[in-house]
Parts: sequence; structure tokens; C-alpha cells
Amino acid sequence: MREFERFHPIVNLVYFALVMGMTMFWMHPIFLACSLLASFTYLWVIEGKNAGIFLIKLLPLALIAILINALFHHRGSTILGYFQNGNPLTLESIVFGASASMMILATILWFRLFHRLMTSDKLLFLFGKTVPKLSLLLSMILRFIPRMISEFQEIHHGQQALGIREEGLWKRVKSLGNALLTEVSLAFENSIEISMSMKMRGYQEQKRSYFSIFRFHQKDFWLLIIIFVLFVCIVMAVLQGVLYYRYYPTIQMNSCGIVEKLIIMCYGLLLYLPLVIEIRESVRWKRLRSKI
Amino acid sequence: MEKIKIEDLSFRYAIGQKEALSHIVTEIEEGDFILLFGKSGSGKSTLLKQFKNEIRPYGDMQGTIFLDGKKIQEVDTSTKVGFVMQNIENQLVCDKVWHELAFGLENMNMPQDEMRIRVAETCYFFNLQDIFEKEISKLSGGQKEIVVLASVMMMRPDILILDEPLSKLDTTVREELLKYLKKIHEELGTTIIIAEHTIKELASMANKMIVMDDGKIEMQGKTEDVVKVMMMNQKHLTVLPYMMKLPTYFGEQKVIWHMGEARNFLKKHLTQKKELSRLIKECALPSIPVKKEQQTALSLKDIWFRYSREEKDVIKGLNLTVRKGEVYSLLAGNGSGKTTLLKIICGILKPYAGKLVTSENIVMLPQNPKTLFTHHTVKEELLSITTDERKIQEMVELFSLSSILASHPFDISGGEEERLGLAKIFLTDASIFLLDEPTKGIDACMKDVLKKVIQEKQKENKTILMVTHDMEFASSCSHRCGMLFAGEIIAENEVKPFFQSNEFYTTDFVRMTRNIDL
Repeated sequence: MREFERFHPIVNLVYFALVMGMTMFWMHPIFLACSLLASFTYLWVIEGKNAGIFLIKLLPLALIAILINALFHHRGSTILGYFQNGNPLTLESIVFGASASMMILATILWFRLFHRLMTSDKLLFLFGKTVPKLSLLLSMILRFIPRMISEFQEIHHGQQALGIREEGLWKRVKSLGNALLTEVSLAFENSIEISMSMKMRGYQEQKRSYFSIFRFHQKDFWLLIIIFVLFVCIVMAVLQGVLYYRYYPTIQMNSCGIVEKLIIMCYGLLLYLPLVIEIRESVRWKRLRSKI
Repeated sequence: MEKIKIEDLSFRYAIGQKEALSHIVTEIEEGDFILLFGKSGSGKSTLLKQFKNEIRPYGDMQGTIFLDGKKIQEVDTSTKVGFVMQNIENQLVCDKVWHELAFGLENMNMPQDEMRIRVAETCYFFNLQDIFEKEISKLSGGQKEIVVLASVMMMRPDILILDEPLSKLDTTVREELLKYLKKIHEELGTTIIIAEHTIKELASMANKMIVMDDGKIEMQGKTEDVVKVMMMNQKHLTVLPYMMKLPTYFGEQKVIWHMGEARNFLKKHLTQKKELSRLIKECALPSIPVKKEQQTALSLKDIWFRYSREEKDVIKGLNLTVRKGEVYSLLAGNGSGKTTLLKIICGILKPYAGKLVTSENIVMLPQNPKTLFTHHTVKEELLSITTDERKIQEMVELFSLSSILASHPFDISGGEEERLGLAKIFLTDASIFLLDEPTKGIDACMKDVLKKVIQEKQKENKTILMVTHDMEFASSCSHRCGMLFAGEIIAENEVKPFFQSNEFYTTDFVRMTRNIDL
């Protein structure tokens, strides 16, 4: 994903929007499995072991989804048994629950990736194009909050430095409260000076331009084209009923012919596009090095 | 034509009774480097703020300031005049370095391509490529200072104004900032006006000096001429660095800028025994006897500390013993772990290994004294420590706080903050005082007061441990000194042998007299 990160924020955003959209709106089990696998692979690349731990922590959620679906949905024709109240337990409801939980997991993982990759810089850039004021405000908040936290800590330390020892819960709460109050008034004080600093550098109620560190290169353009072509292919095929599936009343999928295989490959390619780019780049660098 | 011309400027704050500025007359040429010198509270900041329409304080202004022949009120000072405030934290508006740099240009509604060139240029000038995409909160103090300077210079001002930029910085950062100021002055020809209450580093850079006192201009002119006048005046003599004072002991009027000149001068005058002995008496290192018989006040044995498991050790197996009634100075640079060490001794941070023994109650003056203030007025701050009016009165007089007693502690200047912090600390009846850079931001006469207070406390058998860069100060009032480097104390000795063996970390006088047989 590291190479993919270097692309223009718009490319990143489009990719995430399409992939997440497709994950959320197509319940085709093979699609979902691909999507989950892909998102987990990327998360593993970025976070390593933590990705596994994260997924394991999410498993109960998936199990609950399956359980709830099986308990409350009684459609489907393959009956596996009956509950005490006479409602049937069906194979279809279990499979649907499993698919739905796959969807939930994949979506959560994609969102986590989104959060990782779309740094404040990129989001601000995307906002800045449309609402420059808002992006400046966000940037200022992002500066203000960490500063407030560290100042609060310093003030708390300052009280301890004066020899105020905090024995007992009440005293501790009181001294923390005191520090917080001081921090709030200090923050107000600071913001007056900050506004002065803004004024000094010509900030007024007026139109302002927006500086960005991102540039739209040729490679961004081509990647965007590839993403669109793949997406359009998949959508067309699905609208044509190529990859028909249903869960109720019986589970049914079209048999896997050439066209189906092609479309699934398209989807796989779209999902693994960042990985493909990564591999391409590392091959390119290896070759460069061997030439040198 | 002169760049700035001030004609009989007087100013009175809307709430003040007294004139903060009275009858200021001066002329500043294009490309001048002006040192505006004066004690804290002499009206330097008020004068500087008059050059910026956006921040000119409310009040009654008389007289005129002309910028390029036009009245200043009619000039767009947001781009023409760059201003660096004392508190750099509050000058940084955005979260990323690149955004901060571009902030002013965005305000000018400059097109993207033009901005790119300007930002790139300025980054090269100030060497900011490596931190360009970093978050402001992750930068060191020195880097922040440079980013502030760069984002002001980004707008290509004709005049650059700095309000006490040096006093709160430590030595290495100071040098960095001075380097860039010199570069700006020499390569861009920008007119620079800098207010400061120490002249050690700046006097050799500035071509003109304005000395202010009590809202009036006391002297102005070429730096050399002003320094010569100051050398003759007992009142100003104390603020001059040792090196510059040297000729006065021999009754000569010569301005010395460099150490080499000073040593040459001294060698030539070795025959004048009487004057020489007076010089030695006043400037040589005092040898204060160490109280060996006293019991220990605090001892650290093999202390290890780091902020989290993944990070590097900040304190590495540190050993330190300070006796009761002793004044111990730790000389330390940036990133040596000095603030961390003091916080450990004070009990704010817990070391993960080692033994810390302190029997008595400890108070600490933190690096930023502002963090000590939690009340609404300066008076309440002092009352929160003790109700003994007599003691408070004594402190108020010592640290000359009487004029700000009713002010809110956030409204006072940097130097006053430091003084109030010191007053608060010394009002407590603690027996161990930890001082984190007590001399930053305070002027020469206040240093003498601090020295006196420290000596008094020491007579009461109280213990003082301070961390400082200020060699002259450390040498003048400590029993022992140590050098902290990368989390360890690597040298420790009594004052005299300590400073005599050091080459860089030593006082001007020792440097001046090295290998000269007095």
C-alpha cells in the first residue's frame, strides 16, 4: 500500500469509495470473500501482527451477526431443525448471516485502512478544494488539541512542582480539576494571540487560495482510468445478470463460465491493484539497482 | 530617503495613566540592523507594535510614523512588515509545517503555481526540506523558531521585527536563529529591528543601537558609539559582557568585539598591576568552600528512566549527591535530559530503576513558569503560598513585582513570568529548591537579585540544585558544578577547578585569561 499512498488523494478517495461501495452493496459471497481477504492483506502489510489481533477481536461480532440472523430469520427451504417455539432453523439463514458478517468485517477493515492512508493532509486537501475555510479550521484544530493536552499535563506537573502532593482520591480530583480550569483559560488566552498572529500575516474575511503539496501527475491519471474501466466492466456485467446470486429461498449462483471467471478476475484485480503497484515498483527498483 | 521616520511619537494605553512611549524621534535607513535595547518594561514591545497596523494596541497615539515616506496607517503592513512575537507557540497557526509556511500566501490569495515557487525558495533558504511535511507538534523548539521566522519571511517583508526572540531560547537554538538573521540581513538586505535585553551576541551584528528606558529613547546611534557611552556610565556598565567591560578597568575607551582582541588587550596591559588586581578581584572565579561535613540532602543512585518501553533511555545510570546547604549547578545542553532529571527528583516522574533518596520537601521552578500559575491575579498567586504579608512584601520588592500585583498572571511579559515564578518558589518553606534555567528571560540586574536570594537561602541551610546554560551565573553562586551529557553526569567538581579545566563550557573571564600569567 505504500506506493498506492503516494498517488494523488483524489485517486485514493475514488478507489476507497468504489471498493467500499461494492463491498457494502453486493452480497455475492465470492466478492465478499475477495474483499475481506484483500483488506486483511493490506492491513497485515501496514500493521503486521496487530492486524491479526484486530481481526480476532472482531470475530465475536461476526459470530453474533450469524447467530442473530439464524435466530430471527426463518426463510429458506433447507430446514436443519426446529427451535422450541416451533420456528425453523434454516441453512440459508446461516449462510446469509455468514455473508453479512463477512461484509461487516470487510467494511470495518476497509475503513481502518482508509483512516490509515487518508492522512489529515489528504483530507484537508480534498476539503480545501471545495471549502477552504473549513479546511483551515480543521488544520487549526489539529494543531490546537495536541497542544492543549500537553499544556494540561505541564500545568498538572507544575502543581506537583509546587509541592502539592495528591494523597487521596478527592485531592487528586480537585487538583486535576484545577489544572483543567487553568488550561481552559490559558487556551483562551492563547487563542487571542493566535488570532493576532493570523491578522499580522494578512488573514481577513476575504477570498483565500489554498496551497497543496499534492500534484496530479500522469500516473494518477492512468491509475484513475484503470480503476474506472474495471469498475464499469464489473457494473455492466452485474447489471446484465452475469453474476446472479440469491440466498432465499434456496441458495443459488450462476455456474462459473468464462465470463463469470473474467468478471471475478476483474474484481480481484481492482481489489489487489495497490498490491500490483507495489510489486511493480519493487521490481522496477530491483532492476534499477542491478543495472547500477 | 530613510525607510522609517518617527516624528515625536507618544503613546498612552487606553487603561494606563502614564505614557508608555514619550517623544520618540528616530530615523531608520534601508538595510539597517537595529538593536533596540532596554530593561523589561521599558517600552520596547509597545514601540515595536506601533509598526504593525494589525496589532497596534488601543490607546492614545500622538506623532507620526512614516514608512517609505507614507503615513504608516495608510500602508499595508501585513505584507510590508514581518513581526516575530516573543511566544512562538502562539504564532504557529496550522498543524503541518508546509501549511504554516503557506498560510500568509494563502491570505494574499496567491495562485497555486506562484505559491509553490515561493515556498520552495524559502524552504531552501531556511533549510527546511527535511521537516517540510512534518507536524508542528513534533518539532523541537529550535525548529519551531525557524519555521516561524520562515513563515514571516515568506511574505517578503521590507522590515523584519523581532520582539525578544532570544531570551527564552537556549544557546544552540540562539546561534541557529542568529545565523539566519545574519543571512537575511546580508543576503536579502531586509531592515531588521530586534528588541532584546542582553547585548552579548547582538552588539557585533547590529550597526545601530537604540537604548530605551521608561518609554524614552536614552541613546541612539552607531553601535560602537553607544557602547562607548555605556562603558562610561556605571548604570549601563553591568549589562555589558565581561569582554566589553575589560578596557574600563584600565581606563580606556575601546570597544572589543572578539576574544582575540580581548586577550591581546590584556597582554598589553599586564604591567598595570593595580588595575589588574581590581579586575581579578571582581571577575575571577570565586572559590566558595564546599561544606563537606554536611549531611546529604538528596542522593540519586544509578537512576534509569525512559518515557515508554519502546523509546530510548533519557537518563542512564545517573549518580548524584547534593549536600544540605549546597548550591549545585548542572550545566546542560539541549536533549541532555535536564528537565526530565529535575522532574524525577521532584517526584513527578518515576524512574524504572535506581534509588532516589530525598528526605525533605522539594519545590521546582519548571522550564515554563507559566505552568505554576492557577490564580486570577499576581497577588493571589503569592497569597496561595503563604499568608504572611511581610514575607510577600519582601519578595515583591526583591523581584520588583509591585507594578503588576493586580494583573492576571497570563497578561505579564516573559521576564515578569520568570520573576513571579521565582518569587512563588522562594516563598515556600521547602528545603530543596530545583530551578530549571532560572536566568532565562531576566535582565542583568535581576540576575544579581536572584544571586542574592540564592545566597540567602543557602545561609538558611537550604539546598539549591539548578540546571542552566548561564556559565557566568553558575560560576558566581555555586559551590559545585556538574556537566550533564546524554543522560549522565560526566564531570563534577568544585567551581574553580571545574571551569578552569573546560574550554567551551566556561566563563568569558577564564577564556580571556587562559595561559596568561596574571
